[in-house]
Amino acid sequence: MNGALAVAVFLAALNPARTRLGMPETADRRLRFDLAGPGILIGIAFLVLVASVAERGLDALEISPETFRIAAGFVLVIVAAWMLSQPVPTAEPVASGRLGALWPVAYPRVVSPESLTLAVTTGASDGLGRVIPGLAIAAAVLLALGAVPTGAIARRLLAGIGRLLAVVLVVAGVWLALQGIREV
Amino acid sequence: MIKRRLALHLSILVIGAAVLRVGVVPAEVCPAVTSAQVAEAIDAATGWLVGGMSADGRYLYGYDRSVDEVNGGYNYARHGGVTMSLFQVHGAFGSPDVLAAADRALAHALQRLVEGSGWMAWQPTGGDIPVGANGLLVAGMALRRRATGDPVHDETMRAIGRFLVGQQQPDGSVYAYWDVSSEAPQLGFGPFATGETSWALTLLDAEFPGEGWGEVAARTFDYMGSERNRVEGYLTSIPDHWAAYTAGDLRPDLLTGDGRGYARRLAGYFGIRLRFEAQRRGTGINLILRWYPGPPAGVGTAGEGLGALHRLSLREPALADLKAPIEWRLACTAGIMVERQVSSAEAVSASRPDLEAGAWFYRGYTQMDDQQHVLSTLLAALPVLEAMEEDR
Repeated sequence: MNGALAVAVFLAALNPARTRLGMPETADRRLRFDLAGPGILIGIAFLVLVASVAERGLDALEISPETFRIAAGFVLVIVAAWMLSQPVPTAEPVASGRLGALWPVAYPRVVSPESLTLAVTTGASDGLGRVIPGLAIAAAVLLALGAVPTGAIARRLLAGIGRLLAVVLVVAGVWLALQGIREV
Repeated sequence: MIKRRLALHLSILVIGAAVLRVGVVPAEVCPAVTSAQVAEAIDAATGWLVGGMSADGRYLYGYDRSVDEVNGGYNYARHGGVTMSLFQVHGAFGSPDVLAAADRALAHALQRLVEGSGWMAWQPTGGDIPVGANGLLVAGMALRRRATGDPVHDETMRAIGRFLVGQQQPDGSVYAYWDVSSEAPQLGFGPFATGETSWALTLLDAEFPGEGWGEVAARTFDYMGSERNRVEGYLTSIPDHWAAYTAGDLRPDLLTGDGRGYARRLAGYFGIRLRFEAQRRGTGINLILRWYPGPPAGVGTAGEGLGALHRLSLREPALADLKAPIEWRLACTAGIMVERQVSSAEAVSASRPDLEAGAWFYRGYTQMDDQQHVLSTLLAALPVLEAMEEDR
């Protein structure tokens, strides 16, 4: 996976537009950042950690990185289908105080089945050099979207962009599965 | 409320991971194996083939241990294939006994040569002449010549080579039979005759450079990589190990960019086949999802195909990235097949130890081509394992 493709796929997997719609909502922008900022960073740090041990982890489970790509492709397609049918994530209760950064921001918004499998497959096959830029850009977009007040128009726009990114995720999933099949 | 939602999310994650583990990515088990164990396995499989030969140079065709019954049938393309594999063994180990046995099998075929207009061909049964069997016969003789330097069959090789060229069509396709009654190529293709022909012609080119065999072989190789599926009506590409052998031995100047692309696709077909095989346990839920450990001939064809492409990856810079994954896959397959081979100790208690020791069975049955293809795989894996051991 080349660098630009990795960025596109991570962007689609983290789907900042849809994820933004699932973030704890407050009228105070600063308060939003107080939860979203640390939560996103914690989630991204966890994904980088997972990617860094992915090769060893797959080895321990006796799974070749090539075969895991097939599994990752399946996960991305299934999740993307879910995203298309549910463009706005189910609202989650927010943990009190700073714990709100962990739940529901770091998990399940940033760390999710799709971002986890993508971190594992990219980390094991292409290394952190492909994982970190992809996650960093997706995180930056997500943080930037945190500044957007989610009024009716913004919500509709974010849902539309979220759907588009879900389509990208379907393509990425199919592509990953085919790559996994074609590799030696 | 939060605890309930967290439990729900984690449950979905865990159940999803379990489904993936069982259904998509079961453990790919690659038993550790040494080059010495592989050499022993080659020796034992060769012993099964040579030990089962009859005085007239035919091999024992098959054996069903569940009913203790020898299969009295025969297949002459497989006769050519097994003989070719024995010449590969001789090429690797220089064993005079194996050469003598392969020569007996070759003599059996050469007794049935017929002449046409400027060509000769092996007509095993008296009916239409199978092109694939002739291709494998030529391949065997070419490997024999490469290993021994003996020119005794040179003219026969050239004569059968001309027969093979006569079966080739302008687009590079190859008709699979010569029709004896109409004295013309019979319209129709075979799944493997095309690749067997192109490989035979490739090996002729290596033995007789400058005679134009390679150019004819390349035409068929390019056809296999481009038009074959459409022309011959295949919905999916054939994982053709003989095409891989052609790629592995084709003169570098004849391998085009498209040809390299085809070689890469072939490596992928064999790779997924062997990864899938490494996931097979043949028990429990794995049996339902992955079925029994695969037929040895099927595993072997994928392995020997990868072996041929390994040679190509060593000399083609554009395919050098395939070298490491192919080596890993070959080593893994060698470990699996060494473990699955019936050892002499295991065969002692069998009703026919001589028909079990050294063989690979699929659900109680083994056939000469099971031994042939796995043998060729192990021969390809042997130098890879030796190099790995040296590096350690």
